[in-house]
Amino acid sequence: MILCMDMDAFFASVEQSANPHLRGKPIAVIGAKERTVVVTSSYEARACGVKTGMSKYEAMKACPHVTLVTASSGKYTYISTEINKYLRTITPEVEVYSIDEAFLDISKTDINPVDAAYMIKSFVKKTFNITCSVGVGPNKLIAKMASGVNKPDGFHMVEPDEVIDFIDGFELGDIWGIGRRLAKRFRELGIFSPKDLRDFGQDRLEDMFGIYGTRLYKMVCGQYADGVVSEEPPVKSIGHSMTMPVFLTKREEALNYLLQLSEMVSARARKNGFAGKTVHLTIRDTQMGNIGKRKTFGFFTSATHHIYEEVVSIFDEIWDKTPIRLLGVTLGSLVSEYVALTNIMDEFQKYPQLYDAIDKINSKFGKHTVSYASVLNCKRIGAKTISPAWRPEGTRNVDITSD
Amino acid sequence: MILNLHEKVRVGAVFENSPRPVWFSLRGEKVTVKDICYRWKERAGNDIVHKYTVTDGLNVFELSFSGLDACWYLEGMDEGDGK
Repeated sequence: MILCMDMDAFFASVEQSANPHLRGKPIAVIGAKERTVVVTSSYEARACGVKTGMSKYEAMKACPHVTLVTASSGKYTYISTEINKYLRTITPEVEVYSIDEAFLDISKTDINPVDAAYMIKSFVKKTFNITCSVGVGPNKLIAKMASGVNKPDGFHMVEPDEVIDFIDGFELGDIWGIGRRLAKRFRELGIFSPKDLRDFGQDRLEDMFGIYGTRLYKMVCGQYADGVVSEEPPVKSIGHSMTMPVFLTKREEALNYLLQLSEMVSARARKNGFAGKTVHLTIRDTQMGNIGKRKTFGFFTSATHHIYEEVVSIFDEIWDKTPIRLLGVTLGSLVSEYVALTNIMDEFQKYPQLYDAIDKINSKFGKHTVSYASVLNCKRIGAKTISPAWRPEGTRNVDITSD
Repeated sequence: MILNLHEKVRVGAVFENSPRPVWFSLRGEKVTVKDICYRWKERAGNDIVHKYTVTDGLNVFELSFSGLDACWYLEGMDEGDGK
């Protein structure tokens, strides 16, 4: 059987647990001090209409007595890491799905699912004074959906012979992986429920969606082929993006952030032993419109100065002077176990020694201890928000800087 | 109201498996730690910073202890609704 452990309002619960003044009160956790959105909220705030993704002004309008708490990301990543260490004592087959969610395959253990769920819930409550919900099912889809049934502090187990009845209890849009947009498309075809979709037939779904049609049909039959992936899948790219504390209107301001992002990408490539051959720049404007462009180097590189040079040339090519809300830099077409910090075209040939010195200092004293002087002009330095791709270890483990 | 401070403070602590703050000085006054509400660790380079939220029964304080320089800091305080 597969277990899905899902923390209940994770960041908000941690803040309430850490600060007795916040317990029982509506609180919303926001990403950072400056312009930002609600990352999560307590159940008390949700009852007042506060939702994830609202701006802090919308949250205060919905619930005037809501307390806004700036995310303390180091706390959340520590707790997530400790919980995942514990999960691996139950079974090595653990897939960290996000900072607050994990799947466990206990098929090869002697522990029964009810005991495993009880152990996890007890550990989380006793160690961190917060709660989680656990769903159990014959596959990841059913376990994931079962974890949401009795939230918060819930437990629900679905036996293999109950799968169809269980899945039929959901609306199409509430099935994990189908989503509201696809459900709307089905509604327009007169398909409203999982049973309707089964009756629609596998062949017609395959005609419409190809391989994904097969997957959809199996999902509404309660089947899910993807198992628990405990090994980190190969990294395809390394990227960082940053929402600006204030909209950027000047090229010089943007270049400071591009240098910072290039250094963050390069530092992670250097640390994890990757070099890339393409770089992609994303610019998001104030209306949430994105523009971006990819360029290919004539060589593999892990170096900040190569990435930055290419990113600036893309920036000058595509930026139309529209105020900038977000910038993102991604190094792609990666090769592993290879770090390239210089090439014969560089006039300065001691880049490897320079990067080595930077990495040694930052590794000893903390990130951004040594950086480029122009990065000091940035009002925001370092990753402040936890990416959905964050993992407790490996290449996807990024140190988050608290405000 | 939450105040961010990051002030170096004197702390009386018991060092068991990890340091446990018992009292600290705040503006010349000794504040007794009635309860450790939460504890966690953060890494800053080679340094492991032990962090705590503690209460004297009235206010909530965030303390940190840097293992590298063996110093305590009062990171912030929450006076609640001010009552």
